[in-house]
Amino acid sequence: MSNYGVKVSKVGKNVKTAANSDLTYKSSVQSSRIQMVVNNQITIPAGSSSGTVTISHGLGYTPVVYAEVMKSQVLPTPSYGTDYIACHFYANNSSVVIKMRIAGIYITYGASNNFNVCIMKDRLK
Amino acid sequence: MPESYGIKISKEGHKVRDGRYLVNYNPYWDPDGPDKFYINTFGDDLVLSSSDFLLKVKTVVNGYVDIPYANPGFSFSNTITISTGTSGVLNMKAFYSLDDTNWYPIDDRNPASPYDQLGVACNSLDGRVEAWAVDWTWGVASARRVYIRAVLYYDRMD
Repeated sequence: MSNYGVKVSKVGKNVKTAANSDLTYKSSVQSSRIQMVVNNQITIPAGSSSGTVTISHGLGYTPVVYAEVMKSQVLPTPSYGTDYIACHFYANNSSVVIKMRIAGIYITYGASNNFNVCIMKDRLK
Repeated sequence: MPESYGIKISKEGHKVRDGRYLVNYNPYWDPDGPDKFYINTFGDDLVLSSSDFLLKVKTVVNGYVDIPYANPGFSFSNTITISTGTSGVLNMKAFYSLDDTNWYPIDDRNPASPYDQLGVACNSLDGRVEAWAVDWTWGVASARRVYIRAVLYYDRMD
């Protein structure tokens, strides 16, 4: 067990006795860090019903990921709707995959969607 | 509250002192306030500032929710409880998977699953994580196992 390192407590807390939740930083505890941020667009051409964007993260394990897909137009019950854009993503030990499905009128004209993905170094699996 | 102590580490090529900027205080807003105060003008240029509260990873918990079976037209749900090994409601980021390989986020905004009509939810509670899954897919008659993984942070939500 190491007896060295850096700890910084919240204002008003004794750094020597503070619980981890009262420390703003502790060098022996892994802080949440960003591996990469990707801002891009997923596009489905007219006549197609799905599209995929794959982002390789290079971590070798499944990380925690935060993602926002803009301009989503998902009906409350998409399986019963006729016109919808449905987006989702998943992460595995090599990549983050953004998927979009469209139906109805969107297939006629095609669709595109912006997305922001923040891949953390935090290991999920 | 301005602090005059702490640790700051800047990104390569940035001056660490620029991460926090001293500006003149406008007494019109607060006559009793200080003459000057600090503002995080260049916070994005710092990799670490001890005045910011960092998310710190405590542990990863995992489990699975078995949905025993489903008949056409009915929904079946199940709930599991996973102990976090500590008291308090911890900050959490949860994911689910049907194959233990590809992991989908569970969040409040979009609990609906890309898998047909599978719904998954996960809550951080005092000392535990509760995960819940329901399957109301029409015509699916087989059991489903929904794997759950959640990264728990030291940061308390209560």
